[in-house]
Amino acid sequence: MTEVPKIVRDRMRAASPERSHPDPNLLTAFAEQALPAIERDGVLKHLALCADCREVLVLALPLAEAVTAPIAADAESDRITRISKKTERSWLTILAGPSIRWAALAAGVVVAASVLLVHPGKLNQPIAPSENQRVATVASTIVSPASSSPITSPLTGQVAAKTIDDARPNSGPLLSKQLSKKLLSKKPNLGEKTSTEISKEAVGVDAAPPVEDSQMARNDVPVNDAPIIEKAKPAQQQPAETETAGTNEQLKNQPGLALAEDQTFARNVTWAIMAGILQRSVNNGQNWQSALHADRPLLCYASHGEEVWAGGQAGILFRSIDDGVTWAQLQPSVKGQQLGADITHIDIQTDNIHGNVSGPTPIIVFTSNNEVWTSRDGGITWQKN
Amino acid sequence: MPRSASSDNSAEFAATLYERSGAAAYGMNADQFAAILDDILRKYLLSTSSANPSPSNSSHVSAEQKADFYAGLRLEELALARACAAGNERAWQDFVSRFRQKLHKMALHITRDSASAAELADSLFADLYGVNARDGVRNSKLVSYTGRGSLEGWLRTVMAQEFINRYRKQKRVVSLEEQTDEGVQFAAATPEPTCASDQRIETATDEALAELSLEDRFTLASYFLDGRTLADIARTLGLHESSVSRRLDRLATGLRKRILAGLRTRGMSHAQAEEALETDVRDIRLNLRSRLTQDSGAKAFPGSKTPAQDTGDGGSD
Repeated sequence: MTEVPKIVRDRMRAASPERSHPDPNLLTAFAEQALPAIERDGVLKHLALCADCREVLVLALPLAEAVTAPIAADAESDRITRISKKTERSWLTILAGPSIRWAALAAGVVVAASVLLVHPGKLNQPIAPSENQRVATVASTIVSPASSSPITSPLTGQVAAKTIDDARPNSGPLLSKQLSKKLLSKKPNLGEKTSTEISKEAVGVDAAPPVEDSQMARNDVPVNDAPIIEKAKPAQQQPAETETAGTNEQLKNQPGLALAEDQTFARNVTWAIMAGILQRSVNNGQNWQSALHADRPLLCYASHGEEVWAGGQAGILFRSIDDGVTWAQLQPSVKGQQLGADITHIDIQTDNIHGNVSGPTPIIVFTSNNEVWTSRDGGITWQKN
Repeated sequence: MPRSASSDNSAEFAATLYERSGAAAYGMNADQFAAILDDILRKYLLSTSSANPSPSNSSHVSAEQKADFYAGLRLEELALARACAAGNERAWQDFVSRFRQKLHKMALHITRDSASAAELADSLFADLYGVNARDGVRNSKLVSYTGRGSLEGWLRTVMAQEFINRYRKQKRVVSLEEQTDEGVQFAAATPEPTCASDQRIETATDEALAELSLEDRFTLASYFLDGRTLADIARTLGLHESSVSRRLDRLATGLRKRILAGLRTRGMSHAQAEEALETDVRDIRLNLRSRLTQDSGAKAFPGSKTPAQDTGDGGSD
């Protein structure tokens, strides 16, 4: 941080406020960003000169566990997105880096050559299918009836699909896409970008000359006569590809990627309402992002596990069952009478002993006109007390 | 009959506000609530629109201005607070159930000490209830809540003020003997900050500071005078920490440039202006002890403690 000359501090310290201190109402409204511009400027003018009021203002900020930072939500969400993408990129960059890729291929070629030398007659013996083989088998099976190309790759779906595409240009990229889509559906947590990069990576590996050499070396039998699945089976005979497949599978199963997203939304989630907007923190309140911005100010919230409720002015009520990723607006009503008063408090009736709920979680909504609305079916039906 | 239509609208609006507030549940009638709103309007809106607020001026405020102002009020919390102040039992029950626990949490947040927190919270609660009666009428602090911000925020602010007042009181009454008993070492009195030798520096600095916006000046004061964290300042202004950080860098750099420019316009050369800022003895941050001993191969007085050792860092200020 750039320092200011000492004379600046001295001159700021020497200045004294001209007016009397603003009352607690104005300070509160200032802290809650609820003052109109004219009044805000007046308070700011005083605060700029009055150390006492600045101290009161900071002490009166919301509790640390409730709100740590009312932030510019867009900027923060952008930052989180950037971090997320950066994490993805860094993992992919590391694992898909050219040096590691070629090192893996070289190691694979060496292992493949040694396997071929030591066990030349056991190439097509069926072995216990690994996860990678199973995926490749699925891919091969889909296209096998019409395939006459030498498909020997036991790679993951993307590589297998690419091999199929190369061998059967008439099948076109559509088939490849379908295969990739089908296979990638095993890991929905991976983003589209990740999938694309994995596919590119796999294609790069598949097109590498050493692998082709290796395939040719161990497939000198008439491939058209052999069942496609058998050709796709021997993963151990293709260590280079297995290694790559492992890398791809590692990427697909990459705990850092999937778990990071899970953790982002499922762990350490803290909620707060600032200036009528529901804010969410995924790192114990260090940073905040806007989770729900309704057309009317929100006043209260309640959360239990991944279930979050938020209520606000004029009876607006929202519910999320996925930690605030998606929201549904509810309009409680009883016998045609709708909840229209400000919602001041929401209570999720959890089991106090274990923190769990038995059956549907009862929700109790308190309003400014002292009504109490209860729902025992997640907000579908309501009772009014 | 525009006058009549206007008054009808006004009455309808007042009725809507009364209904929204839920004041009826606390036994407050519409007239009482309207009077409260009128007081608040006079206190804030008229004081900003007129230098001499008076009841007669309330007619000068347009209906739109009034509507906007009232729309920003926390009506239900205002009704609750005023009903509590008026001694309504149900309002107190609601208030206690909603805020009693929060008050203790707030106090703990402010004092960081459970005993002090309990004392502070109980004291404030007594003030809110109005233990001190005047002419037989309870004098509740809740009367001063106007609904401009949330009731919870107002309670925090009032509590923070109370804490600071208490802290000052306690600090004031601690005797020198007590401090001595606690092992406090009394340093020599800090000399009054000497004024810059050249009045031009002060003038240039004041001018540069005067050019800052209010928010910039608040940010500077919070960071450089009060030692607040970026997070605290960001929360106060509703900004992101990185924005505050960038702003502070920009302000510090800009201030320096402006002061230098001001000094140059007052007849200093660039080098002189730089020197005037840099050579202010209060800016010198040197560890004199390390500077003095770094080149000496052996201690000048081995085994003995130099009397100046404890003040070796004194050059920083």
